Amino acid sequence: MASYGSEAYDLSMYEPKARLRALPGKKATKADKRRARLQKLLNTLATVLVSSVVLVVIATMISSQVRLTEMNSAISQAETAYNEAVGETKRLESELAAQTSAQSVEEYAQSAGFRQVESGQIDYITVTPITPKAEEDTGLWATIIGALKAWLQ
Amino acid sequence: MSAKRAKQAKTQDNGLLMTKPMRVRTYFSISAIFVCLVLLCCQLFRIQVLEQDYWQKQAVAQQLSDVEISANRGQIYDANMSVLALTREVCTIVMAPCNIRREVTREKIADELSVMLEVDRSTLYQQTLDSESQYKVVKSKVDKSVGDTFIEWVNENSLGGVFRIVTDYKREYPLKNTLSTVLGFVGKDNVAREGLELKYDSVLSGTPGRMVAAQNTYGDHLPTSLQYEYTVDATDGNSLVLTVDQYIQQVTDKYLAEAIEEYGARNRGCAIVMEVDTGAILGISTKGDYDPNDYLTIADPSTAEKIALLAGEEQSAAIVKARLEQYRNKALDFYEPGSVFKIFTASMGLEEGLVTEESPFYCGGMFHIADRSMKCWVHPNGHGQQNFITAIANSCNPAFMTLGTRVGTKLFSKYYAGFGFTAKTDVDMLGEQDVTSGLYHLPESISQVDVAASSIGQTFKVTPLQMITGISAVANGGYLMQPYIVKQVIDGDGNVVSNTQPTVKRQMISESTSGRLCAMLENAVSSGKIANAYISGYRVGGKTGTSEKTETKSEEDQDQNVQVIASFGGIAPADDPQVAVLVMVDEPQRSRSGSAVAAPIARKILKDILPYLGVEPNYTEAEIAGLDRTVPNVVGATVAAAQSTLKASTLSAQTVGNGTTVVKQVPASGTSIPKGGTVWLYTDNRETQTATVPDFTGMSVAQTTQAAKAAGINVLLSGISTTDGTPAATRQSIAAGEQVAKGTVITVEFTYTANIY
Repeated sequence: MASYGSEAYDLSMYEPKARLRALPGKKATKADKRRARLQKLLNTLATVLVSSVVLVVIATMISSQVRLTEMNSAISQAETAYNEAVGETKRLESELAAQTSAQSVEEYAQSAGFRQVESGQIDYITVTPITPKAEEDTGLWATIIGALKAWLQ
Repeated sequence: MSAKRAKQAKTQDNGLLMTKPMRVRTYFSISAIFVCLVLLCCQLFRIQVLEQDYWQKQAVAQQLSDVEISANRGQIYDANMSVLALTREVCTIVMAPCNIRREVTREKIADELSVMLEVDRSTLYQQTLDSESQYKVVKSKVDKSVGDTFIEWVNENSLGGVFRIVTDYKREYPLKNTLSTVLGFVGKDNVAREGLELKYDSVLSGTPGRMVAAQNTYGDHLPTSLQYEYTVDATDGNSLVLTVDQYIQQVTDKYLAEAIEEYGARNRGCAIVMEVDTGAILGISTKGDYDPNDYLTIADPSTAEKIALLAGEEQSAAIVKARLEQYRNKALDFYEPGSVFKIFTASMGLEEGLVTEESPFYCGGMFHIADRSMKCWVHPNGHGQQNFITAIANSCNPAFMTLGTRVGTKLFSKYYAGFGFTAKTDVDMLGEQDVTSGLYHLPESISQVDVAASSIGQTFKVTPLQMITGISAVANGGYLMQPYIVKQVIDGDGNVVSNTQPTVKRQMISESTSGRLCAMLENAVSSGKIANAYISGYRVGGKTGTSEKTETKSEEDQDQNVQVIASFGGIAPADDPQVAVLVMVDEPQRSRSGSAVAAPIARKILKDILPYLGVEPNYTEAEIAGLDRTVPNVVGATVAAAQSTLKASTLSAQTVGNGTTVVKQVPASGTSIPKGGTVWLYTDNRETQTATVPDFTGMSVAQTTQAAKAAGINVLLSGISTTDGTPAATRQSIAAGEQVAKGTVITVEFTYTANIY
C-alpha cells in the first residue's frame, strides 16, 4: 500500500486483491435443507403478501387521489355555476330595482292612462269609537236565579 | 517529469515526490480555495443571518403565489329594502397585440369587435398595431352576457392566444340620479370616491381574503391535495339600510327638478324631508346632480356646452371644477337662510317671555338701530300696526329686528348655538364642513346691530341640514335631534349588525312654546300669506325666506339684479308635527320670493307624502264643500236617472243624441271632477264631440273656469287655498291646442302671485 495521503496517488487500488478464501463450515444436513426450503417458501409468501399490501395501499392512494381530483373538479364547477348564478341574480336585482323604482312605476302608470289619486276620490268615513262595556257584577243570587231561569227555559 | 527536474526535486525535498513549483501551486490553490470558502461563508452569513428576512420573502414570492380574494362590497338599500347600490361581477377584455401576426386578423378584430363591444374602430385598430404589447385593455366592465358572446367569437376565430377575460367588479346604481349626491360612487378602479360609499367604505368593503399556494416554474398552482395551499376566506362587506324612503325621495326629486327648470335656477337647489321626532332623513335631494353610473360625464348640458368651447388646460380645469360641483351635496353647503330663520328668533322671544301672540309691532318700512337703517321688504310703506302672529305671516323685518334687540346679544348667542348653528350636525354623511368662526357672529364680539340683522336671517351662514334640524326641534317640542341617514347596518344574510338610535342633543324650547309657534306658522300658511304652501285637509305650517347673495352682489347691481336664494321651511301637520321640509332654490331667475318659488315645491312634496305616511286629512267645512267629486257610472241608465244621479253628486249633465239610455259618458266613472262639473252623456253611437284645450297660463281662477266652460271641458284647480288671494295658472295637465273629448278633466295648477320674502 502506498504511503501517500491522497487518494489520487493511492496506487494500491490497482494492485491485485488477495482472493477471499471460504471459511471451513459444517456440511448441510437434510433437515437443514428442508428448513431452508421452508424458509424460502415463507420468505416468498411474505414478499408476496407485503407486495400485495403495498400494491393495495398504492392503488387505494391513487384511487383516492383520482376521487379527490374528480371531487375538486366538481366543486370547482359548482362554485363557478354558483358564482355565475350570484352574478346573474345581482344583474336581475339591479334591473328589477330600476324597473320597479317609484319613478318608473309612475311613468308606466301614466303611459297606461292612470292618474294619481285625487283627494276627492277618497271617501273618508267617521267611525265612532266603541268603548268596551264592562260586565256588570250581578251578585251571587242573581247569577243563581239567572242560571235557574236559563235551565227552566 | 524530466529526469533532471525529478532529480532536483528529490535533492531539495529529501525524498518527497513534490517539486517546489508544485508545492507553491498547491499552497496557492489551497489558499485560493480557503479564501473562496471564507467568502462563501461570509456570503452565506449575509444571506442566512444578516439579510434573512429579505431572502426569505424572495423565496416565498418565488415558490408561493399569493392571490387576493376580493370581498363582495355590501349593498345600499332604502328604508323599504329597495336596492340603491350594488356590486356585480363583470369582465374586462384584454388583448395581446404581440400575438397577432396577420393584417387580415387585425382588420377582422377591428371590424367585428368594435361592433360587438361598442368601442371606437380606429382606436381598436391602433391598439392591434402595438406589436410589442402583451396587455391592451379593449373594454372594461363588460357585462357577463357580452363576455359570453365574446368568448364564442374568440373560439370561432381561434384567437385564444390574443384575448383573455379578466374578472372585474362593477358598482351599479339602478336608480341612476336618485340620491346620487348622498350615495357618492365607487370609481372604475373599484375605490370608493364620494358620499356614503366613501364615508362607510370600511363597513361596505369588507375584508379581502388571501390564497397562498405553491406554484411551479411556470407559475401554475401545484395540486391542492399536496396541501401547499392556505386560504383565508374573504369577509363580505356589510350593507347599509338608509332612512330614506324611495317614494319620498322620488317625489322630492321630481318637484325640485321641476322647479329648478321652471324658475331657471342658476346654482342648483336642494330639498330635505325629515322626521321631526327622530331626526331621520326621509328624503334629501340636490338638483342638478349626476348619474353615479356615469360619474365622469358633466350632467348639466349647458355647463357641458360651455366646457366644450374651451381648450387645453383651461378645459381640463373646468371639467374638474364642474365634476366636483355636481358631486357636492347642496344640503351641506352654507347659505344665508333669510327669513326662514325668523322661526328661531320667534322661538327665542316666546321661550324667554319677551313676546306673546298679541304683542304689538309697528312697521314703517324701515328699522333704525345705532347709525344703521335697515329696510323691510315692504318698503317704503311698511306693514303698519300688527300683532306678532301677523308679523310672522307678513315676514316683517322691523318686527323681528325689534324682537332681536329685545332678545339681546347674550341670549341670541345662547339660542343660536343651542339650535346647533355653531357646530356640525354630525350627520353620517360625507361632506359636512366645519362651522368656522367667520360664518357667524361670535358671542364675545356680536353687537346689537348684528343681532338685529341676524334676527332676520342675514349676515351669517348655515347649512340647509342645520336649518331643517332646527326646524324639527321647534316642531317636536324643542328637542334638538342628531340627524341621521343610515338606519341599520346588516350583514349578507340580513342579520342586523347595528341600529342607529335617535339621539337627543338637548331641549331648546318648551313643548308649550313649540306648540304656540307651530300654530303661528300654520296661521302664516292658512291665512293666505303663504297660500302656495296650503294643502286642503292638512294643517301645514311654514316660513318663507328670500336671502340676497351678498358675495355675488356688485356695486353696480341694482336691487333687482342681486341674486337671491329662495327657501321655505315647513312642518306638517302643524297640530301634531310629523315631518319637516326645507326647500332651497339658489339663484332663481324667473321669480325671486320664497313664497313663489320654494313654497309650491314644499306643498307638492307634502301633498304627496302625507297620505303616503298615513297622515289622514282633516277637512274644515269650507274645504269639504270645495272637495272634488268622483264621477258616478251612469252608462246604461235612462237619461232622467243619469241626470238625477249626477245632480245628487252636485254635477251637471250635457246630453248628446236622441236615445233614451246613456251608452257612453265623458269623463268615465271614477274620474275626479270639480264640484259643479259637467258630464257629457251620449245616448246613441255618434262620434264623440271634441274641443281644443285652451292655454290657461297666466289666467286667474275665474278666467280659467270661464275658458274651460266655453270649451266644454272640466278643470281641476290645484294649488288653491280657501282664502283670498291672487293665484294665476302656471301649468296644465294637457297641453294647449290639443284636441280632447268634451267633458275631459284637465288639472290646472295655480300659484299665488303675492310675494312673501
